[in-house]
Amino acid sequence: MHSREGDAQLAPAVQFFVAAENTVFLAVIKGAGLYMQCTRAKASGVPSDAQSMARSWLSYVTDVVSADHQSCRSILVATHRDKAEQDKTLEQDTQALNELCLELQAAYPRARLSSQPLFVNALDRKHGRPTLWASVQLAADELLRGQTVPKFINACGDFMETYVQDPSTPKWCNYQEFLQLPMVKDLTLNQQGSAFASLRKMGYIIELPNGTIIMKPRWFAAAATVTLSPRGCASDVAEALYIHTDPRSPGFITDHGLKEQLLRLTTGTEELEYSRDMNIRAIEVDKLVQFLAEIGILIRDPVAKVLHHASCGHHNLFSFLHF
Amino acid sequence: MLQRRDPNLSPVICVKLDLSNWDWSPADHTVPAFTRVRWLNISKCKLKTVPEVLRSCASLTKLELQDNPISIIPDWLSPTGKVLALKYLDVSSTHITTLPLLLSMLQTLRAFDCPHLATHYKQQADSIEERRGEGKLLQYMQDCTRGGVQQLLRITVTLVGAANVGKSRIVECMTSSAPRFYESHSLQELRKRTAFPVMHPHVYLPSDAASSFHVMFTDPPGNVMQDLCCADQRMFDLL
Repeated sequence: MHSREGDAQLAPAVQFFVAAENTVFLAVIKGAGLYMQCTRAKASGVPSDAQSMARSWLSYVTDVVSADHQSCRSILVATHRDKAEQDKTLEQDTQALNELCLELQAAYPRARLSSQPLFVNALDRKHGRPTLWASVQLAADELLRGQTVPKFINACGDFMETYVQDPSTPKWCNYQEFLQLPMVKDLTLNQQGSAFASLRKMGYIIELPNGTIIMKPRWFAAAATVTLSPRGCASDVAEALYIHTDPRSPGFITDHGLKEQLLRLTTGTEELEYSRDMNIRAIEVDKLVQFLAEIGILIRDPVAKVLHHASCGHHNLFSFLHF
Repeated sequence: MLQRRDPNLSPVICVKLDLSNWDWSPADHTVPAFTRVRWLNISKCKLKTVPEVLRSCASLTKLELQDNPISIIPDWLSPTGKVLALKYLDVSSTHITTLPLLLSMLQTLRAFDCPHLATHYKQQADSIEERRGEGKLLQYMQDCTRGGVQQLLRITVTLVGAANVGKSRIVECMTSSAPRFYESHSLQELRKRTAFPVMHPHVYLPSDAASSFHVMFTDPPGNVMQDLCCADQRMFDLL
């Protein structure tokens, strides 16, 4: 096997964006042409892209589950069913998918992969949607069976779902400010601690190492992604947003240049919207850059360290050069 | 060393019984009935379930169950169940996932280092105050008892996979409403899209269920790297 259980590596910052409680992982691969890929892989002895990807991600899932003592379920989802139908390879591709699923189930038992892989056309709301939901619901029922929580935990989750939709609410706060939130302030001290821990585990908030609490993870994740993307995603249907770095020193950018680009990228991009107030915008982008540095997506100045990372293939790590 | 005895023989009459480290199969019916035991230590006994024989321990006040791979605490193991005199329970270092709220009637409850315990309990159980013996966990459980509990209906759905494989489409498909008869069944094929990860809360109401459940869709930024030599290109491709 090219990939063994637990050997996946992930950009270290990703841990901040992965919720770790009661998770259903959907490992997504392209299903159309899978049979052909697998046949070629068998002949050459080199795993196909789909096999490698599925193995790598399930290996990652195994790592997450083991580290957090988490219970999870995984589902292998193959896409582009319509293409397989069009190419008349649906039957063969389905067979290859089932075989791959069995192989992955045996290789990554802790990922609790469902024995029923899905082959869907994700564009199809009539058939794809119910197929996906039926499978996720089954996995969710298994995960949540017998799990009861105090009512306030569910209420806090509901509150956060409303909170993130309000553009006027702060995007970050500290713990004391968190305790003053309407839903939280009336709880007892012990309940407040539990509510905070639960919201963090469920992915509603992100706690940075310096204690800052990101109240709108979607905003932060969007900024992290554009910053992690030195160049665009190669797709003719995708508009990729990315930071232009110094052409003479790829990967390097000034503090001011980065902030300017992060602000410019907001036009029409819901996830990255900043306040309309220019002063607040400036504070927001300033903080955003601080937070990105806090989780290691940006590295300030130490050139030697950056060069070391670059030689390891981590070209996505930026540095501030003050030239 | 305690000898195994026929259960029909007279019950063990003692106040304090230390059976820790004893290799005791829960299916073993030849263990003595502990009717009169008031303090029982069955820690480190490799128990996967709480022994049924404890149902007969109406006089038991202190029970040490720590360091066993027990995953469930049965409802009968409480002062309102079969163990009427129970005041002290230690379930530290077990595999329990939750704590019955009936245990809030105890005087001491210890549940340190239970890695599978629900986050909201674990937060209290592992706190420094609790380790100092301040009863934070019990106090919290008493608060919960007053406020009530309900079924947890929240999950996270995390999509993992290569770029352009359809992850965003899957989220879009799942979070869209079911098409009405006059609506197109298909989502728009070409669309403006970014490479942003999804962190999207969604409420789903199954057609056959009374209550909805809340799903947090996440699509983490970043990439699995199988080996460093091709990590660079793969990173770019995936992002």
